[in-house]
Amino acid sequence: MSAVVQARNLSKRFGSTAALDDVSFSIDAGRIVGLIGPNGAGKTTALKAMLGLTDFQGELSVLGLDPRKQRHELMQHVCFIADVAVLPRWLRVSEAIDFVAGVHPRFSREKCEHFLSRTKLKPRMRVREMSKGMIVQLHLALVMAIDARLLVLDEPTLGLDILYRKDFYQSLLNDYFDEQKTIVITTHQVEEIEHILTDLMFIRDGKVVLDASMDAVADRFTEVMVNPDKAAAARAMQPLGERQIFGKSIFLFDGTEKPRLAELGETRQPSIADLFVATMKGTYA
Amino acid sequence: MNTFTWLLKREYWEHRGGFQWAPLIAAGVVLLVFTIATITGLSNLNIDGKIISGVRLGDLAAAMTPEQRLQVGAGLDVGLFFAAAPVAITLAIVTFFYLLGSLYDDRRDRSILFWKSLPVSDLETVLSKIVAATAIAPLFALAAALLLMLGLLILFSAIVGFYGMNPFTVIWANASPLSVVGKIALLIPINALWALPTIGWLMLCSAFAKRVPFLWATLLPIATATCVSIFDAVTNLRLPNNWFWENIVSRILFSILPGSWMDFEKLEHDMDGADGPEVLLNAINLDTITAPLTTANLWIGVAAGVGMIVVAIWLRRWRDDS
Repeated sequence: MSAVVQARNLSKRFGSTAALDDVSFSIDAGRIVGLIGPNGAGKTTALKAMLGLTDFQGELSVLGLDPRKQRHELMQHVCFIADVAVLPRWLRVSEAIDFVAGVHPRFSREKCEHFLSRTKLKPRMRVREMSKGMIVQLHLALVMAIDARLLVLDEPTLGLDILYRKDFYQSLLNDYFDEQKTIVITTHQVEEIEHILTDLMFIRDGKVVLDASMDAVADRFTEVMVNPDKAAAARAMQPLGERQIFGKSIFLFDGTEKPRLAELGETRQPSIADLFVATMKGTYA
Repeated sequence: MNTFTWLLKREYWEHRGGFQWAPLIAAGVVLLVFTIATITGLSNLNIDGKIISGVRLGDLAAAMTPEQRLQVGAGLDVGLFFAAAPVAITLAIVTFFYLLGSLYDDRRDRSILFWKSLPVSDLETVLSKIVAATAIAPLFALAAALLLMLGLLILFSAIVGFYGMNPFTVIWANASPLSVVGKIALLIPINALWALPTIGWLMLCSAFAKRVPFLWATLLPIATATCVSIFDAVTNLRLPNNWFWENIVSRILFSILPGSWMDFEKLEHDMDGADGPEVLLNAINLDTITAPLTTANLWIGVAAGVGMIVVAIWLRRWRDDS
């Protein structure tokens, strides 16, 4: 199976800062990849490059196409949501469905209407009359009814309350995703997508600092809760990070053998959020 | 339906107010003004019956010669033609602001990201907006103009009937609103060609401006022209100051006005010694309509317009400020 996205030596500069600094990565079909990084790390630039929305240096192929030159063909198979609440305010639900059905060969009107039947949206309703949550529902119904091979989501749940956020990822996983599809997500709410990801990519200062499957991440990283008396021993083993809770220290280790760590204290799987914090230490310093 | 038809439909959905309702409202206002004028006129005249100086007006109408009928018809047609002017001006204003917002509004509200997530090329998008401005909007305005003309003829019929004349022989047998509308329809393609520099400039500003495309579009040419004028006045460089206003500023801002390409001096000349209203309508014939096609002014404008549109398409594709 060839890669859905293949990037080699991708670079993009804005003035003196590098949004992408010689980045290489590849994404296989049937994966759900979380692209995680602090503000300004280059996540959105990477996504925009994939979608042909911005120019860049280096090589990038998406579904075997060059997003700069073949954007039109690419958009037949790629779909994206960049911040959900961007539907035009004058648009009616019925018009949105008619238009997408008219211009997109892979759109299924039945599917879309099925998704919408579970919401309070009515065909005559305009976007300007909808709550933010309703706009999301409409946008999502439109996008999920498109049989795209790659779905790119840039901060899809920004500004939504937790009910909608849960709902969003739930329907994404249950009604949309299958082995033929690939999803790339960026978000700051890491803990919410943790359980649906198959792959994790950390990006910092325009560089990919971690690129691994969730299984590999589980193998590699371990968190140990250590009593004060063993803290010095733990520190000697060069942990990735350390934080204090209830008088105990929690150390995060990268690649250290699990049995050795078990001697120090109780071990467990670190959350992506903790992993992220440890990896990104000093970003804003 | 293909993608392009859907894009045109999209423009119509978004701008129903400007394309469809604005010309209808303009037509309605004209009709209302005429109606009020008629009612006050008729009630003030206070003619006691349908007889003036012992002559019954009904008899007068019945006694019209064929030539006189022709003249009445031509008079009515010219009246209808000019009564549609407010609709044309409305169309120009609507199109002007439509074009200014065409590549800007969706950048401002970020919905451009939604449109760009669909398999539609930027070339198609920009072209659909040009077709909307040069064909869809004018056709709606034309329909509104036709309704206005029919409304006016009904109003005239009422007046004529009030004086005891037969509206069918006096008005409807002589006036030809359809041929007037047909003549206006013939102007649409040449209006479009003539408007291209304005269309290109407005779309270029719309695609380029980060904020307030209106100020870019208007202040830039007007400020430049003013500078040229001032330099011309205070130095003896003999700068082409009037030329600049006429051939640059007016062409990139006001050529959107339907019929602004007409050679009014020539038209006036043709009218000299005319003895009937029919001359005016006859003057607007295939010759006058095709006359601009032989001028460099039109084709240089077309070339400039196409050039600016190409830049606008490029900006639409690569401008990245979302």
